[in-house]
Amino acid sequence: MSRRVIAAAIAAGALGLPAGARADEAAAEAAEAAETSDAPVAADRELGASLGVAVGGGVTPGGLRVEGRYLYQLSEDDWFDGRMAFTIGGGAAACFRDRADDVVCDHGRADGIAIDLGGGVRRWLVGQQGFAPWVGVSAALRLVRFGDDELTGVALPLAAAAGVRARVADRISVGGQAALEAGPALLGRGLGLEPQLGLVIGATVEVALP
Amino acid sequence: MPRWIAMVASLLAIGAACGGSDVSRAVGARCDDSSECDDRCLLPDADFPGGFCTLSCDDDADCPDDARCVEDEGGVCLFACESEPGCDFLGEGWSCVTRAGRPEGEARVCRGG
Repeated sequence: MSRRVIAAAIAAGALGLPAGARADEAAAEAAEAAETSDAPVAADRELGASLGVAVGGGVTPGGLRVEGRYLYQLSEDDWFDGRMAFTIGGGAAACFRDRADDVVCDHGRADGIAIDLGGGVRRWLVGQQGFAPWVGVSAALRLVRFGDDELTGVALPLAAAAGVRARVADRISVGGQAALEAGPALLGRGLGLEPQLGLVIGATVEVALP
Repeated sequence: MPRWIAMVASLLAIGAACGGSDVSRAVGARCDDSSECDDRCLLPDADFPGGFCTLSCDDDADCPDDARCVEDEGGVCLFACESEPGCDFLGEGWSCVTRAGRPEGEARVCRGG
C-alpha cells in the first residue's frame, strides 16, 4: 500500500467517515487520482490552516500555534506563502530587576501571546510516492504580549521552514511542517531591543481554491 | 543525533541562556514592592540595599540550594556565603554575616548593614 493510500485512509478516518468500505473507497479514489494526474503539486491558489506548538522562552512567546495561510503561485516551483498566526501560551510573571537594576525576563517555553502577520516564499522540491516536500523562508510582523508582566512589544521574526504534504482528496492536502524563527524584538518596560528565537512544529491542511 | 537537530537544540539553549541572571523573582531581584517578586519584597533600606525579593521559610528546605533560611523578618531566605567576596554580586552595601538560622543554629548569609 502506498504512503498516499495510507494518508488518504487516515484523512478519511479523521473526517469521521465510517471505517471499512468508505475509508477504503476514499483512499482508492485519492490514490487513483494521484497516480493518473499530471497536475502540478499545488494549485495556483490555496488556503491552509495549521495547528501545532511553538517553543519559546525568554522573551519569545510559545504555546499553542494556530495559523491561517494563503498560497499563491509565483513561478513553476515557487509560491507566495502568506500567513497569519496566533501563539497562545500561559505563564505567570517572569520579569524582574537584577542587581544592576536591569529588567530581565525569563519566561517559560510556553508563555506569552503573539500575533504574526507575514509572508514569504515556499519552494516545492521533488517528492516521492505522493509526498510533496517543500522549504520556505518568510518574514513577519509580530505583536508580543506577556500579560502578567504587562510587557508588550513588536518583533520582526525571520523564519526558515520545511514541510511535506500529501494530497488526500481532489483539492485537499494534509501534512506537517517545522520552522525555526529568529529576529529582533522591541519590548517595553525598559527591555529595549532583545533577540527572539523559537521553534514551531505543526500539522497542516491545505485546500486548493477553484 | 542528526547535525541539524543538534544545531537547533544549541540555538535554543543559547536563546534560553540569554537573559540569565544570578538572581531571580524568587530570591535576589531588586524590588520596591511585593508585586515584583514571587513571594515577598524586603524593602530597600540599609539591611537590604536596593530591595531584595525573597521567600518566607521555616527551614532551609524552603529555600533554593544557594540560600539559607534565617530568623530575620520572620523567616526569610538569604543567599549563603562563606566570605565577603561571595556577596559582591549583590552590589554595594552587602556583606557576608552570621545570622540566627531557622529553625536553629547559625548561618552565614549575605545581608546589608
